[in-house]
Amino acid sequence: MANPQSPYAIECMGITRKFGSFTAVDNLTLRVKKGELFGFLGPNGAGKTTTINMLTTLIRPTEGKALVAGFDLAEQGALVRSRIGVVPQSFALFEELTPIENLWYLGELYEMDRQTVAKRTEELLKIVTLYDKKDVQSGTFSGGMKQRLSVAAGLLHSPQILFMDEPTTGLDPQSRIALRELTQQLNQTGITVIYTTHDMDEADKICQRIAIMDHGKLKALGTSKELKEYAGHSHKIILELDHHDGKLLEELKKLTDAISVTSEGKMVELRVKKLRHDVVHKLTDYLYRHDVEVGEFNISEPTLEEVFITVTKKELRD
Amino acid sequence: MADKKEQPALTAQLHNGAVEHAIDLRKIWAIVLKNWMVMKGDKVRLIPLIMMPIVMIIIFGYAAGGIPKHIPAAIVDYDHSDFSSSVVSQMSGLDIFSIKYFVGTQDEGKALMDKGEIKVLFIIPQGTGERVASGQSANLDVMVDESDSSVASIAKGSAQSFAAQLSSQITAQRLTAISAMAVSGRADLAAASATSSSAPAAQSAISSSQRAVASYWTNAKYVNSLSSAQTSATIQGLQNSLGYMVDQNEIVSSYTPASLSTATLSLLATGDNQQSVLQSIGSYQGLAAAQGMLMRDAAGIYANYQQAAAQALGQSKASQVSARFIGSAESKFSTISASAAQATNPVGIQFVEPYGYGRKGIDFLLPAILAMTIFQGATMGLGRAIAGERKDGSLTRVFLTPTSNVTIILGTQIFYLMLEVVRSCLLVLVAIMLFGVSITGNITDIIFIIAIFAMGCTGIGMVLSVMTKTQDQYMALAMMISLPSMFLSGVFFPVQTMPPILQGLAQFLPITYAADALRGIMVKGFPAYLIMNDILLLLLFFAITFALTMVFFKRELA
Repeated sequence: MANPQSPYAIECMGITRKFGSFTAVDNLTLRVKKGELFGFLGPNGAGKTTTINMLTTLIRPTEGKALVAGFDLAEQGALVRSRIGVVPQSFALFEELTPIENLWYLGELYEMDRQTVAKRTEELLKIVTLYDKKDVQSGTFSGGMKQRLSVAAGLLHSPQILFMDEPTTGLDPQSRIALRELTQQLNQTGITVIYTTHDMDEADKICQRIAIMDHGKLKALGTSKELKEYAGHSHKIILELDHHDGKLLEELKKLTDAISVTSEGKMVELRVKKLRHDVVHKLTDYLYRHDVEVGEFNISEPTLEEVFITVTKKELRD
Repeated sequence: MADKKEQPALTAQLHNGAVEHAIDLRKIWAIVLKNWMVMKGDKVRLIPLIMMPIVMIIIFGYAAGGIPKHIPAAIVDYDHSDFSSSVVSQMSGLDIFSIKYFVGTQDEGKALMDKGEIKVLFIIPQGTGERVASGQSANLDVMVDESDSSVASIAKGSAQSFAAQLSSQITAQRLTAISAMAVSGRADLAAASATSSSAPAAQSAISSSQRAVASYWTNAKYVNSLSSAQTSATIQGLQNSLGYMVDQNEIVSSYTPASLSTATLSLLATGDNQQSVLQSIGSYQGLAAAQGMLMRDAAGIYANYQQAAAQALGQSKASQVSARFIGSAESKFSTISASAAQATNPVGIQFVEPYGYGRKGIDFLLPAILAMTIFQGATMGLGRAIAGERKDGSLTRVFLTPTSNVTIILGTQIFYLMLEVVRSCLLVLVAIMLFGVSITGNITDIIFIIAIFAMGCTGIGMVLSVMTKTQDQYMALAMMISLPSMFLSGVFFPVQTMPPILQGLAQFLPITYAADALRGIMVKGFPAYLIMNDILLLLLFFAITFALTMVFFKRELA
């Protein structure tokens, strides 16, 4: 079954985890390609962390099988662990130690050659921009800095797959942005990244493919675009016009190939399935030619949140 | 920010799945070092850890086993006698109590006690001095503030010992008086004895004079009988001659001696011879009569004398008997006098010190303090070890590495073990420096015992740490184990004074065997092989805790 040459970083085949009578993860089946930045999206309690814990060999599945990095999860745990790195939800490192000391410790436990550890420590700390703080007690770091150190620690032994469990939770907006950028950067070097989050926006921004989970079940899987299309969501063009009438609205609708047009006072909302690249030009051109002044011009994308609600509501309806 | 050229570095050198070795020395050492670095980095945790043994030994060195001093007290004197004054002045001179107030009434004293100004009130009742002077026993009243129980028991004990001291003083005084009286009684008896000591001599004098008098009397009687016989013979002769003469005169035909005097008178006219013979006879008869009378008197005197002599002899014998009694009484008085002098301290205690002279109490207490400090430190100190790391997630990272459970456990335990050994050495060092404690045995033996014991104690800490999920849970369980063990260690209260159940429980505590083993080496100077029993038990203790740790150590997160 094991297949290190597999094009998939992760293959889950119906893995389930029960705690007594409570089912945390229910029959999860999916595949993650090598080199993907893959997201698990869902509210708290959806089973994301349990899934990650299973895939990182920290918990055994009660049912099902999985291959991680081509190795069987249950039978070849040690090999799996040698190929994966983890950025857990909590800091999980020693605040009394400096970054260098923390990485030294992990290096020892991974039986890595000391010179390699030294070299990698320097490289990684530079990548996560903590090199200037390498001899400072990590307890003094801000949340963002701690997370970056956590990432460096996860990468120390050159894993093929990096699991990041809600890494931006609790960070200030700037740190969040920085961390996301870092994640994408890492992914570009070829590391498969499994990214869990409950922030729909974030998943939308960085994950190439997303698995939406709720109540332990996989609700939907695909790229952001696919999901939005699957859920039937559309773009919205919102205009503030100083005057309009029914004829104008109809024209606008035709012009943009909209599904619907609604208005409320000065605000006009056009729902468009596909956003054409020249739609802005066309609209402004038309309005200008017809002497309509435009106050606000907003184009909003469909959100995953909407997708999520749709997807879970659908489930309930069914 | 990194760019594409970083790419190779991040994916290079893929780690080949390593096999977990059960015991990996490199990793064990890494864990020990890591723990040390973590501890070093947290000064707030580190400093009390180092200071604790020092604090412990200072507390025990200076505080424990000391004699309490200066308990605030007051005195009420209702007696106003010389005796009560002397009691007051003696009390004021004691270290144990500090007499802060002299009050007029018991109520005043109680008011001071209510305010907390004094803990003890001494009351000397009226008439105490009189009673003591007249040889009776008397009581001093003592009121102790029970609400402060630790001071109360000490105060009671001290008051009783003061009273005992006082009693002993008074007894000594009385005994001295008795002794003096006995001495004077003895002098009197000696004098009496002197007089009655002449009794035997008097007796023999009386007896010999009795014998002399009896012999004189015998002689006198003999002489008298001789002379009486002679006188009678002479009278007879004269009478015969007179009779002859009468016959010659043929005047009287017959005569009788009775009628001799008349015959004599009638014959007077007849002749001078007859007259002179009659005169002679008459004087000889008078002489006989006088002799007779003399003898009768002498007999009477002799009888009287014998009677008196017998009486005197009898009295003399009686006084000899009383002399014996006097002698016996005299020696008894002598004994009373000597005993009285020694009555106050008949039996003393001379301590034979088996383990060297001049050692202080702290020397003997040190092994138990050491055992207790190690036990406490190890059981209370491992909260962060597994439980804490599990909670904060750092243990998770360790689980992702090829590190076996045994390695994790041993690495952690060895660190804490080393810590305890260092702390113990510090404690012993401070004990030696500050209190001049002397250690008899071999240093390596001592460290060996400490190490084995610490392994077991850290074992307990490990068991608790792997069983619990958070540091708070750990502390709760650790307290439950360590506090009772502290009291059963024998450091604060001797185990022998506890009820049998607790003594039995103490037998199950490793601390008992560790203290025993340490005492063996540090106080008695045994080499290690003599305390093998204790060593084996401590090793067993470690083995059990290690096994339990392995059983309870969960690698899975859930």
